Amino acid sequence: MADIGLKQAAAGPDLTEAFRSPVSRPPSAWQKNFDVAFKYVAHAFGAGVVLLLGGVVFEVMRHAKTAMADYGLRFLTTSTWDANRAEFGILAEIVGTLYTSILALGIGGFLGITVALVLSQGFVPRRMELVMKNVIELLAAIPSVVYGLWGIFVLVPAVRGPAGWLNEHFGSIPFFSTRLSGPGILPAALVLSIMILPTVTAISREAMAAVPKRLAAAAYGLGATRWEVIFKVTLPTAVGGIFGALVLGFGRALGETMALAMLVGNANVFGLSLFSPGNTLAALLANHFPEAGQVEVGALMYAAVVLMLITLTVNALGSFLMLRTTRELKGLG
Amino acid sequence: MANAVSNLPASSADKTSFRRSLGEPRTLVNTGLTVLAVGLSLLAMFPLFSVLYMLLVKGAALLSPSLFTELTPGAGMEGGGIGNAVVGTLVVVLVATAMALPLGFMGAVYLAEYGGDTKLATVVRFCGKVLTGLPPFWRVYSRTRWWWSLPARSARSRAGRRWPS
Repeated sequence: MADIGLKQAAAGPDLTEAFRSPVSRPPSAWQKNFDVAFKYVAHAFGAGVVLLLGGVVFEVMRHAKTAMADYGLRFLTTSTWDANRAEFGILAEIVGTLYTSILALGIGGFLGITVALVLSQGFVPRRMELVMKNVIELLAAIPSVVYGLWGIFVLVPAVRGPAGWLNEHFGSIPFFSTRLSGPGILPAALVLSIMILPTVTAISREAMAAVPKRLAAAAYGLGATRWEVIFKVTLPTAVGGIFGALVLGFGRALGETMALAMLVGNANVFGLSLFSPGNTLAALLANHFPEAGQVEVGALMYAAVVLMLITLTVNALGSFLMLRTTRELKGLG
Repeated sequence: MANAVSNLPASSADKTSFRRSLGEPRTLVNTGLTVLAVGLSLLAMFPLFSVLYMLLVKGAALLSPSLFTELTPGAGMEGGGIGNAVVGTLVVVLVATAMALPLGFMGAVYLAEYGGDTKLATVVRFCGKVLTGLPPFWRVYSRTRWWWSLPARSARSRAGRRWPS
């Protein structure tokens, strides 16, 4: 068929024989229109994602307007939350949010990258790799509330002993300066780090697996050990993806609500101590919305705006830094 | 750390240089880091089993078919189950999926097929990332916009409680 078509094409413009084949028929008007319509629908949905975020931002801002005008910057520098006197400040919550999230990023990020290395660099047999990967991914399937319960029933009793020992012997160090009475910054950060672990692992594993094998092979050929290859070839090449994984994990940690509302202690204080109770913005929102009156809702919306600003800043900074780090590595693949 | 080379008769002195020994700093660091990494990976998997164990120890005794069929009991009442919560979860998840799937799927189609490196695609990707990190603002809506709270309202009025306005 194709042969005949070719001959005729060479002979002249008469292509009727070729057009009889369904494959070589030009697209009908309907098909063309469908293609164009599909393209526009896809664009519309893409824009829909942007509109969704814009809608949330707009709606939250609209409700926060009054409180923002009333409280101004004082809201960000005080830390009383008293609905009866209409005194609101979220300094403790801002510090608590950043503190728990950075701790969680440190622990969960380190563990996540290590697990990703083990799962991508041939440390364990293929079948074992698959099992471990699924176990780690299942961590993401556990609901936030269950993590909260686990924190209360298992984690807090488990860390109370070591925490008490640290406080007794190293109490002069600010990080260990109080006793862990129950919920607090440390259990919250630990649970948070477990919650961001699957995200960090999955994304950085993909980045490491995408590093061209010949780069590692070349380093092995020069006599490098496995970890020399990892530190000098794999990690530097995959740094863009790993960084993206960390930013995404940090973003999730900032917004995590239920487990933190159960574990962080909900005290409007802040200090360096890992064992003292604290509060985070998301936990504040979750705890106060059910009983909030008109004025308090406004203040809570203001807190929501601040939280959104933090999340947006982190993501924007992450995207910007990622663009800069990956630009240098372009063309390596 | 037995190496195939070390099994050969060591007639030539050169062959000893192929032997791996933990006495050499590079090998020691390499092995140490491997043990550490695998150990940390096992540690990272521990919470899953710990959570499952906790749920089984605390909940297995109450597991029965009626748990999934009966309504939640009132305070101080014996028996009952979580049937309404099971159905509620299924309904909420179904509705949420029906709402999120078109947007998410078509958004992904857009990014993969048409977006490329265009400005809109970059913004869409960024917004998607931010949306994963947003805390649940739905509480906000259910209190400030009456139509968002219709299902909750009807549930509350059925329970005979007044909805604070």
